[in-house]
Amino acid sequence: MKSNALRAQLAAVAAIVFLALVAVAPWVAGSHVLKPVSVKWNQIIRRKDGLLVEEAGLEAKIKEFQNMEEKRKANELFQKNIDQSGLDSMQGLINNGKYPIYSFRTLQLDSKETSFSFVTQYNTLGQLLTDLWNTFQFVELSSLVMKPSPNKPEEDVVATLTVRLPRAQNR
Amino acid sequence: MNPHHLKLPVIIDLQPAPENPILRLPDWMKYLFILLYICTLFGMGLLLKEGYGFFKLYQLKVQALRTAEQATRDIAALNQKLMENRRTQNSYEQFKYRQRAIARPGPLLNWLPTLVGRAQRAHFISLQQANDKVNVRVTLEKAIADSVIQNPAPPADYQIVQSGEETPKYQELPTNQRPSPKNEYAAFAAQLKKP
Repeated sequence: MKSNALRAQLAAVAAIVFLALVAVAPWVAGSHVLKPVSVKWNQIIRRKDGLLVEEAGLEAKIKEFQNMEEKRKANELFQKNIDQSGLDSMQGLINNGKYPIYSFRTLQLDSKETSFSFVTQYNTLGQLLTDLWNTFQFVELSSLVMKPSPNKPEEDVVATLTVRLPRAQNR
Repeated sequence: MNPHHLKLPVIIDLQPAPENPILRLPDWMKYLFILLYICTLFGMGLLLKEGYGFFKLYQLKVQALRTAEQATRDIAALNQKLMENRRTQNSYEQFKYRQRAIARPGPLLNWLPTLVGRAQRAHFISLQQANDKVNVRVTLEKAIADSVIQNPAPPADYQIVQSGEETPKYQELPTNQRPSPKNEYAAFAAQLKKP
């Protein structure tokens, strides 16, 4: 009889404990299972929001750059002009027969400077220099010396043009 | 036989119900069970609510993962474009600066004739550029009583640092040529600077 009573008491206690566990289970599940996962997922969502903000910021920065396509083309033209501003090209332009010049000489002064010397008329010299600087935009004039030609001092001028080629300037 | 007259088998408890209850729980336990029952119901309700929120959050998380993947790819592309734009902009500015820094001889060449007076004649003209400074020398044949130009106006985009008359150098004089008796050679030297 006593043994039955003890068992019944144990069963009652176990039932109460079980019911208590059942009662607190949803809260435990909410706080120990759902909450940590939610925190992790909220971090993912916040990271997404951060990425979107970063993307918007980058788009705004990109919009600050204006006329990039035109500038890219201009850069290509500039680079092309520099590449083509070589000694041969300059000699070709000066001494191509278009300008009436004679006694043309090229003198490489050093790795940076090149000197061209020729005899021509004043007006031709002006035209040649204009064309030269319009064609080779990155050629830097170092010095220009003009003196009357000993043969025809009234008409012709001996011009000595010293320039720095853009390729040499880069070195 | 009529099925309605069939009887269900009788279950006989092997252990009959005790005449005296073995365990009598206290009366207040009834309220404990009611409390636990209410607690369980509330808990289930809460769990249901949390579960719904959890499901919505899951959907948002899945969407966020996809968006984040796309945004990461977009950011990489935008960063690349931004770098490319910066490179292009830098190159463009360097080219423009270099183009501006290279002095065009046009303004100087146009300025040179203003240094020579009507009764004067230029023999030797030298123009030397170094960085932002330009040295100009003009050797003139002029009347003895005449003088070289004083305080000439500077060419466009330049200012005159100093200018004045100087004795011409030997190599600036015309070879085998003397000035007429009333004339002499004089040199005008000027230093210009870009402001």
